[in-house]
Amino acid sequence: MRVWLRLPGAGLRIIVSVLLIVIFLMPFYWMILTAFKTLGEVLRMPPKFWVDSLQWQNFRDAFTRINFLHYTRNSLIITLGTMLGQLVVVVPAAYAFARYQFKGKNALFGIVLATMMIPGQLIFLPIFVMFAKSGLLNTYVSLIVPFIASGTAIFMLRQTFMQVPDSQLEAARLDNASEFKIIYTIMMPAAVPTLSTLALLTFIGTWNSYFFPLVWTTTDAVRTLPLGIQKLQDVEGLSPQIVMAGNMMLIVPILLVFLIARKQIIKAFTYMGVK
Amino acid sequence: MKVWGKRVAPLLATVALTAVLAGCATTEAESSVAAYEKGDSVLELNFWTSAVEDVNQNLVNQFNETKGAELNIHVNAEYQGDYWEMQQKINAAAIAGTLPNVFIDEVAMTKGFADSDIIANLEPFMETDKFDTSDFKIGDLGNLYLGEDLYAFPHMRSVPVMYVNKTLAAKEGLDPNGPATFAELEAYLQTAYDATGQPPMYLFNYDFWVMEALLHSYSDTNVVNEDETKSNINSEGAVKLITFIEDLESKGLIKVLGVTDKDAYYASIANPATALIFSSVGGYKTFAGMAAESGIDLGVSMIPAGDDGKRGVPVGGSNTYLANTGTDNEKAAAFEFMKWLSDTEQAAYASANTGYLPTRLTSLDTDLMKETIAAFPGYKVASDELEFSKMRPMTGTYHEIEDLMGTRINDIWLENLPIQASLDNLAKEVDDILNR
Repeated sequence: MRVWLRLPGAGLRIIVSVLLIVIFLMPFYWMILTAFKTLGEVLRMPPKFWVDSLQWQNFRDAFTRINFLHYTRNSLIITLGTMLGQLVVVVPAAYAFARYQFKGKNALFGIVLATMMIPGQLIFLPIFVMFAKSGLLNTYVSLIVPFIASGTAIFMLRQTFMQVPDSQLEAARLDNASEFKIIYTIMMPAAVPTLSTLALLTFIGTWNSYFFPLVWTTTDAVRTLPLGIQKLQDVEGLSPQIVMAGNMMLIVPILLVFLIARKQIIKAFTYMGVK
Repeated sequence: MKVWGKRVAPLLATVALTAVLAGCATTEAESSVAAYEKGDSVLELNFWTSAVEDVNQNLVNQFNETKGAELNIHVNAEYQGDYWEMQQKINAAAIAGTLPNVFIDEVAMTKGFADSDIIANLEPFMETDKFDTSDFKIGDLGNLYLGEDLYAFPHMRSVPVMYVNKTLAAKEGLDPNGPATFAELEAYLQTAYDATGQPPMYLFNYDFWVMEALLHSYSDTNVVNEDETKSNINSEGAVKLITFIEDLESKGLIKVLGVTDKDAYYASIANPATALIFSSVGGYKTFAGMAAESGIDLGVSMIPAGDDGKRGVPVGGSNTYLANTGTDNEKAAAFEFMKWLSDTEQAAYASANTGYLPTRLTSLDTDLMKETIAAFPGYKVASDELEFSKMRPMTGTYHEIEDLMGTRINDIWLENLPIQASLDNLAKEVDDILNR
């Protein structure tokens, strides 16, 4: 920020801003452009930065050549299931770590933080074996349950809950409010920006997840949209215009959610002191 | 990030799985097994597929409607991703006890799967069935065997070939068959470069299988020694090859692409300024279609010969493996399916619909293959090139080694690192993996 303020003149700031915008938007523009091109236009050298006519059939092809609705439904169920599961598990856990004093609290919190540092590639096998032995492979449970106790979410929410004044909690307890009521009426309203951010991060992470749905499924029954798009690439061979149309449909929900929640996200990071 | 995740994450997982499976050992096979007995109810088999999903699914549908219906066997095909994703899923399934009955994977994985007791020795099944493998004699068959025993059936076969932009060649007076030897390569590329001012050749060495062909043909060496205990990547021949490519790159005659540029590599086939590209014949029909979109007549020639006309190309593609799972009758049923899948007509169908070569000599005599070869003469070139075919390294850790070599060698070219010293270090790293 300080570097930014020291830049001489508004003109330079505008040039840098435009450059940054171009750098960030170019991949998206290229994806959209490719999705509307013919194969011939995609392969043309030097490449064209516009299209002569929009090739809507690329979207139709992406939609029909894989079972797009099936994969989308699975992605929605798994993403929403994970978000709901986190709400049930993460909020009470964060509240306990923020507001209760109990033996081993710091050690337990350290373990929660440590889970953030373990690469998924190390734990996927034991979890895969566990689900296989219990007959839960290729079910929604296997793609939701491992992600609902999120260390990141517990940490972020704990930081927020710690900033709620003690006086509010004491007043509620004097009024005989239950712990559940305190969480529901005091803590959660105070943490709306953080909860929104966590919801968004979980949405993006789960919606885009590729590795775990890949290794924890052996049939198409519960596979998600990113795997469907990967399959599209294999089915279509080298047809980048159709794959890009599929990718566009994949990211639309993320863009929509981000546009709706972006103010809350900025607020949340400011509130938590995480910049 | 996505590319990193897609390349490195599966590799980490594979290393972890290999370590877990390392304790397993191959068991002695019986000399023969009971033949499949058709029951009253339909016997269900799981078949995991990899790559060219639509062709595999169509073949399974054909089986279920014909031979499968006759034998009361129903096969469920489930796509599992690319060869490396399949490898880690098979390893994980072996540990969890959820292996499919039959699966497809890359040719070089036979030993790794057999050493871990994941796949069955096919000799007893062939003994019972009096199965004749002589028709499989199309290219080096080393990657089907472990010792004297057959552990896999060939599914689709490919070799690296040289794709030639015949349109550009005709325009610039170049040989439409491309350079016949590496000694002619530089002059050929220089003429194309002078005409277009653009790189006339692209190289994507993360597909290390192509580099194996260059090591065989240009350097007359292999990536590893015969018993696969030591790397040859710092040998005199290998150093000469890396130096040769670096020299061409410094002159603008070859553009070496990074790991994230795989799509750019394939797209270069449709670039009118690209004169040559080395890639798999498995993509032949796709590449020809892409080139045609840009008005390019795409030819196929053998990888250029080295000194004294030496050639060598690794045989690639996929095998079908019979997993060590299920009852004896399920295994026998799975073998029936594998036999059908590898038969003349099916091998011809798989070849004609992809670009891969058929796995049987008799497939070449089918009407379908005759028509295909007439329309796409590159099939014939690739078939002829099989005369020079070599088996790929068999070690179960080879994928890890390939990845490492691709990265390190690209670093040499892109960061101008000292060649001999860098390859010496690379050889040490490879040796460590080979002897782990």
